[in-house]
Amino acid sequence: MRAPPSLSVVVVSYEMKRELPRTLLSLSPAYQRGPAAGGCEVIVVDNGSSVPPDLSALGAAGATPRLLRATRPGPSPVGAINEGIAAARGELIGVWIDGARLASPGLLQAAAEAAALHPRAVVATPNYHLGPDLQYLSGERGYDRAAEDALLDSIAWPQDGYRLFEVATAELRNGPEAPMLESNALFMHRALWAELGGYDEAFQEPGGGVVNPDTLVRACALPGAQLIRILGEGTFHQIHGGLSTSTLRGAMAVLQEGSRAYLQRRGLPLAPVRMKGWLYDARRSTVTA
Amino acid sequence: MSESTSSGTTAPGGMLPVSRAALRDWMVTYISKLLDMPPGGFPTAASFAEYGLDSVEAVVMAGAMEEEFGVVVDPMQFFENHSVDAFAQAYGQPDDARAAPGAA
Repeated sequence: MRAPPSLSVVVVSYEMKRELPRTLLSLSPAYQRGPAAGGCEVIVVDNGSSVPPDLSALGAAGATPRLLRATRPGPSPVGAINEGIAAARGELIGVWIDGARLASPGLLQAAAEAAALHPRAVVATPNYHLGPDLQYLSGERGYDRAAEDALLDSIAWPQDGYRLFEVATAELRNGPEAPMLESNALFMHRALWAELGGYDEAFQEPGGGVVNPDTLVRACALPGAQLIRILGEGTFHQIHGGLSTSTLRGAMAVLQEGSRAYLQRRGLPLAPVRMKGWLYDARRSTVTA
Repeated sequence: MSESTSSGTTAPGGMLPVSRAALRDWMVTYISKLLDMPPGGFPTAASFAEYGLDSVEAVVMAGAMEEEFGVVVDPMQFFENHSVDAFAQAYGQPDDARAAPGAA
């Protein structure tokens, strides 16, 4: 297998004082396994928080993220994402549209290894929600930040980050090969990001609407692109009052409104990516085509 | 984002301004394209889940339906009537309503 490429991860944050430090810790060399993390730059793009994130406490974990302030902060994270991509120096770039998502310990190494399998790889990692159910459901039954803090304490996070799987719920309810609407840690070689044109700045809705699904769909549709789904690693959403993860009605409203906007923009209905692609089992280093 | 889902109006009882037959045809066309199968390639009496249309896709379909028919469509309507036939029967206009408006 080729040596892993150097890596940049772009993390967008907005008013995530509680969540962002954990996310950045989960991307640090102290937490991540494998050589990829050591060569990884993490770029935090703050999208207009009232108080800029304080990253000073992260040095102990070996994390030295770059902090950028979005030049055009707004309800949509798209501009911030594209600024982060433009600033990224790595040959492989991952985008973390939601800074409230923890990584599993081998995620960066898995992404690097998967991306090395194909020159036009679209590496999609699976999304999980912390807690007993998807958070727009558990949130209506009392799951909140305090419950989540206790949950993370119960697995002694971050001592063994793989225990996140014990206390989380997969977004892909029908397994890893199921139709995939989005990936909240999407990795591509920088040339492919350039070819894609980054995230589409037409998506100016709060939260970006369905810009993340749109990006995955467009990336997979690039000529010769190869979708590679990661198994055994993932991102884990911390509850933070996000538009699409707080209540069932809110989640449906975001998706439904996004569906309408997508149809207007693209002229066809939004559809999850149904292609199975390659499955890269990160823990076994095996590929299933 | 506001909880408003559409600039359209809410029809009484969630009814759509289209006949049951036309609504059924629209759904068959939409789902066939989504699942990349020929029209008639799935059983319209079967639940959406049986042929792989999940709840996320149902919500997306509600948005597309709003665009098509110009009224608010509550995604919960799909969960309460979870097949093409059941949904069209529940929320489409009776097929003979316009042909015989005065019929008792």
